[in-house]
Amino acid sequence: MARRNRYDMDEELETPFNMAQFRRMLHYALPYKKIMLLVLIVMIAASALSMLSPYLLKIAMDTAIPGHDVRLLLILAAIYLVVVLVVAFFTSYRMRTMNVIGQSIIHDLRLDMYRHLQRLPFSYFDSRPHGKILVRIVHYVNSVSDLLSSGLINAVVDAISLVIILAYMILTDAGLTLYGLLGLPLLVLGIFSLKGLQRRARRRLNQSSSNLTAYVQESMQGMTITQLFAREAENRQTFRELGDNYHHRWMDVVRLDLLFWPMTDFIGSVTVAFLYGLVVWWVRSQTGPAVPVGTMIAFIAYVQRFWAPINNLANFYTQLLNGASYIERIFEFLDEPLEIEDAPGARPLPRIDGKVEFCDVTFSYEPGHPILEHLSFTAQAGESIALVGPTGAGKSTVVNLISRFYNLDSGKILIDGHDISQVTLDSLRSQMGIMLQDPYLFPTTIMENIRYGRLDATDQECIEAARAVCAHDFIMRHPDGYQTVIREHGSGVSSGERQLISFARVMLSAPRILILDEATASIDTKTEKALQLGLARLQKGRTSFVIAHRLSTIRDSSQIFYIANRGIAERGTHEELLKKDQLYAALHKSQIFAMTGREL
Amino acid sequence: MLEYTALTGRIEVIRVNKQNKHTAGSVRQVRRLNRQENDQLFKHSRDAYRDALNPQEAWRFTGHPFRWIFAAIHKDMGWFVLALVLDLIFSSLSMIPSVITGKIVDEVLDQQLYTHLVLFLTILVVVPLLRGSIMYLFRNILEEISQRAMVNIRNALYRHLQNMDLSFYSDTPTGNLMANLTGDVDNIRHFVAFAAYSTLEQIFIFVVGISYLLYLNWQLALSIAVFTPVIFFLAWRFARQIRPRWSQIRRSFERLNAVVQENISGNRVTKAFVRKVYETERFERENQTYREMNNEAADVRSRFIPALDGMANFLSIPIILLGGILVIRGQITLGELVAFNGLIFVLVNPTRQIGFRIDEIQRFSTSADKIIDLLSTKTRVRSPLPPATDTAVPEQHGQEAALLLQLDQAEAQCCAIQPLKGEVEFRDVSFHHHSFTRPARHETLDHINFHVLPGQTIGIMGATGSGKTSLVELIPRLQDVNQGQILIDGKDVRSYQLQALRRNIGVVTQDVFLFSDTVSSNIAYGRPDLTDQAVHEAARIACADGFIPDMEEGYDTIIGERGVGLSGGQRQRISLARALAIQPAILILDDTTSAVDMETDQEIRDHLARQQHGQTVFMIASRISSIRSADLILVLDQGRIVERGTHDELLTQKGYYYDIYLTQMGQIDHTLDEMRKAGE
Ligand SMILES: Nc1ncnc2c1ncn2[C@@H]1O[C@H](COP(=O)(O)OP(=O)(O)OP(=O)(O)O)[C@@H](O)[C@H]1O
Ligand SMILES: Nc1ncnc2c1ncn2[C@@H]1O[C@H](COP(=O)(O)OP(=O)(O)OP(=O)(O)O)[C@@H](O)[C@H]1O
Ligand SMILES: [Mg+2]
Ligand SMILES: [Mg+2]
Repeated sequence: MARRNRYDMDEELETPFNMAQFRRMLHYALPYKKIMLLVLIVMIAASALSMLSPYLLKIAMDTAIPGHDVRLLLILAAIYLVVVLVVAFFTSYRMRTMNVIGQSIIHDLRLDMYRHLQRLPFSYFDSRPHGKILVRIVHYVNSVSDLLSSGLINAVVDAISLVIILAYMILTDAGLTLYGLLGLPLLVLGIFSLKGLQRRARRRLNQSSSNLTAYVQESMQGMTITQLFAREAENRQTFRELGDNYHHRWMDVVRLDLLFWPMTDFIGSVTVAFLYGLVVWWVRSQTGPAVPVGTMIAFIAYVQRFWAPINNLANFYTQLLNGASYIERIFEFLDEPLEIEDAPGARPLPRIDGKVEFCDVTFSYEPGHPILEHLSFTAQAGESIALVGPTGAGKSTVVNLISRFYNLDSGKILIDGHDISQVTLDSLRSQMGIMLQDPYLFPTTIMENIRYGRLDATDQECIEAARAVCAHDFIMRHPDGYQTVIREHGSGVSSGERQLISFARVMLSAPRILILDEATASIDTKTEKALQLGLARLQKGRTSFVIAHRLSTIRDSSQIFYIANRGIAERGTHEELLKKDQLYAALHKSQIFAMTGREL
Repeated sequence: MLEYTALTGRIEVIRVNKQNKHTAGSVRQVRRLNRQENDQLFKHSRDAYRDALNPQEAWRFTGHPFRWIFAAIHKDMGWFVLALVLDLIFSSLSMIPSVITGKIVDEVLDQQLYTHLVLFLTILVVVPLLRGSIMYLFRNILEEISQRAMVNIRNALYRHLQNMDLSFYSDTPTGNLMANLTGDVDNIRHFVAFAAYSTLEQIFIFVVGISYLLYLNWQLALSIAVFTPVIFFLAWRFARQIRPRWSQIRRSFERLNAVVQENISGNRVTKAFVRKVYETERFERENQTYREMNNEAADVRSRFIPALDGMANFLSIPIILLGGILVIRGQITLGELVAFNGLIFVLVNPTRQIGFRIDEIQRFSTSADKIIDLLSTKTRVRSPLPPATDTAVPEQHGQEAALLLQLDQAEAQCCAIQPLKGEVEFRDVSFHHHSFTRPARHETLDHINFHVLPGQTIGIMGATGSGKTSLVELIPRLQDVNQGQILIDGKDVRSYQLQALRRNIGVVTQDVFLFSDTVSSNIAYGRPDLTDQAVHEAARIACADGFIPDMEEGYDTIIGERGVGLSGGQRQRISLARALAIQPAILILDDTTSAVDMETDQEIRDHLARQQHGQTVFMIASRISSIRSADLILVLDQGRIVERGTHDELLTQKGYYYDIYLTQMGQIDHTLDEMRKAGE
């Protein structure tokens, strides 16, 4: 597994931005290409039309006014009116359509990311602050959407506008056109020399903001601990440092970004001044062509309009650079290896009887640190298996492997003779009922949380399940009963109640193989005793794996495995193990000693 | 001040005004009340503008986002005004080229005054240089101010949130707080950095431009000015229609965020139950709603913005028509028409932008209102006298760090001089979990009385949900009692400085929360300056020294979020070591060894007994073995103490405790028999 990530650790990117990634991004726009093409045409038309106004002015100044032709003026005004209306109509269409497309792209991209998220292995979630995952799916996607929809179209339109303006310029006065473009190379040079700097600055800013978000998220969730340990001042300091860092990174970016406008503005203005000088010089020295006033004004209007798209393109470029670093992150996420996937040609696991075999299983979370080595055992269908052993020995690990939450280093796990790595994950896991060591409840009603075990269960069935695990009474003690809303991370009910709810959830799912990882650790003895009844009913006819530190729970198990030293150190039934008088028996002795204060 | 709201349900807030009168009502009603009360105040006192970021004063700004933001940046006000002045100079400069163009046409081309040309061209080159520099300067100033404002607002919020109590956090989804600290703060930043000045700039350009046009030719200017009411009317309508859309989008985004967050947090459960499809459908619903909300907003925008744009372009018509006629009649020169035309170009922009500005300002005020509400939300648990940390914190750049250092040192001192002995007394304590949305049907804790001497161990036992955790949470004041009193060393807990009190109490919570940081930082969480040796010692007592060195990087291994990557028992032991590391006078162990095996459990208890010099220990457990040697055992049932005494006393009472004993003992007797049999 990759080294775990802390809030203040930069995640270095493996792949730098390149055209390929951008093209990959374009795939998301592909489904809308027809409509985008239409919008493009509409926009080109709109831009061509709106460019007409200096030309109309030129006619007014060069022809109508000198000719005292009021009728022509009227016609020109009427044409202009039509142009304005059409342009407004087109713009409205474009705005609506482009937004729909942009939002659809975000929607699609986010859905893909979310689907991917559902398939990522535990190790992905375990190795970074959750805030960093969230920010990719929720926030980064928003940031690139503009780029993909309106940004892209605008860029194309701007590029085409440049051509249209050029055409108008030539139409207005071909001779001046070349001089009007003199500043262009200078501008391009300027833009590109800033490019590298800007990109680096942007990246650092994104990094800084991602760290800040991750830190805030975690500190909000752990606030109670912070308060209990009176650590507020310390954390405030960290927060302040992260905030200051963001501030500085932001200013770095701004100082570069703000250079663009003055630069284009200046180059444009110098060009305009140059043109005036040129025209006047031509007039004065009688060498050049005669340029009527209207033509000159219209031409200069075009030159000025010429800079706007260039400015926009420069902005688009900034946006692109900015977006690029988000795109990098998004694809980095989408390229995150799934690790645990259906093998090629995997077949669904048929309804199982529940025979579980571990054949020479070796497993490690981190290479070189094996947790289990050469582990073999067989659990017959319908047997109940108890796992005991010192904390951290690997009990939870063993049961997690049965559901294939992790891949093995070597060896095989067979269920009813099927290798679990060769069947589909869904068919495997849907036959398991797992109660995890730390039960997670969703922030919704108790009823919905129980129903999570079987989505089509009726309310009555949910209540039955709750009764079976002795949860009904306490649920009804809450004013809203089953409609009590559980808050984030299970707050609003006590820990034991949480375990009972999640127990009911598993109960309802009626699995073929039942796995209980310390299901009753926080539950009082009385409730636990009552619960045994329900449990016994559930275990009947099912293979079950039970991890417990309280030995009462496991006495009647078909087999007991004592997990220690990366394997099963002792196995047998309760009686056999007591007779052996080693590890398992010692466990009992310590319990007796603790209860009675007497050494045996 | 607002008491906070139960965000999960019906929103209702309680307003507490200066006289401490409570009024309940909707957020809107309360905002209105606060506003009325304060308008008077602001009329008479300039002082009222200070303290925008002080949680105790922030309520005065309820419903006044603009007043609030200007108060928040009042230290930088000089710079802000300077930037605005520079902006006005900048805008004036932008009008010069059009005027010069007109002059070139009239004086140079028409009247052939070629000597003027050099001057005009110089102006045409120098002005952009000047305005470019000015623009760079004032934008940088504004960005700097806005960043400072953002940092200060965020720091103030963060500090405020650190003072909020447990029930606030259980009622408020993390996602909402995140949205406040990121999105809302950013909208405010955008207002300071951009929306404020550009609104001003555009109004200015508009007014000056129109005035100049009036000066040039009033008929022409008037023919343009008649359109402005229409433009403003459109802009106003637009603002009214777009605002509800923004809040819809916002709410939808929050829900989307929440769904993803839940899914990430619950990833193990969703996988275990194979709920890929269900989860995706759930997400897809929010994802689609979000798209639709955005499309609706775009609909409104696409109706108004092109119209506003069109109106702006429309202004050229009088120029062509009326201007042309005026030139034909000889009332204005061609150059003037050119200048007119150029100025229209400059004027059009503001009108065109007006829609966007309104949009941004709306977003700003929505966000600012949220922040003000959050800042004025009152915590239920606070130190007695407003201590240094709670009062006005002028979060000012530069001085701020020094000031905070002082504050922190003061805090450190007040804790250092107050080591407690650890005597704890509950006097007739009743408590119920607070919630606006549902009235408590019964008390979580009901008239609790007991007295513990320093160095004693208290065992607490009771059914699931009987109130054990709630009881011990009252000691470090995670919650406050509703009735009665808790005394430590003879003084009411509410009379201690919060931090001083908490530094004397080590709590191992039932749900372990570890930070994604190294193992040693986690253990030293309460004492960041702890030596390695002390960290190791704490780990040893907690029986965690066995597995930590075996981890990849030993004490420097980074733990995953909430402690993933550790086994349940390992997590509990690190959490125990964390509590031991602060060497508290009172140690609270809430079901601390439930995931630890019996042998290690016994070993931990031995270690604790050996190092426990005068430490008062509260131990919640369901194993008799964990608490049988306690000096006092309390048995809770539905919030009441139903039995109390030592192990031996309780056994003679033959009640709940005895039953449990028999159950647990019965199992053991059974085993003992078996072992004897096996031994034979
Ligand atoms: N996600 C993980 N990544 C890396 N290491 C892990 C992970 N989960 C567990 N481990 C390590 O694997 C070992 C076995 O852990 P496991 O959770 O299986 O123990 P356990 O027997 O269930 O203990 P407990 O009784 O305390 O729950 C421990 O040393 C633990 O630190
Ligand atoms: N934040 C909350 N809001 C409302 N009710 C709550 C809240 N937290 C707990 N409760 C309720 O208060 C009661 C007491 O809870 P508490 O956590 O003190 O129980 P406990 O004795 O510690 O139980 P356990 O043995 O399961 O840990 C329970 O009925 C619980 O549902
Ligand atoms: Mg475990
Ligand atoms: Mg509890």
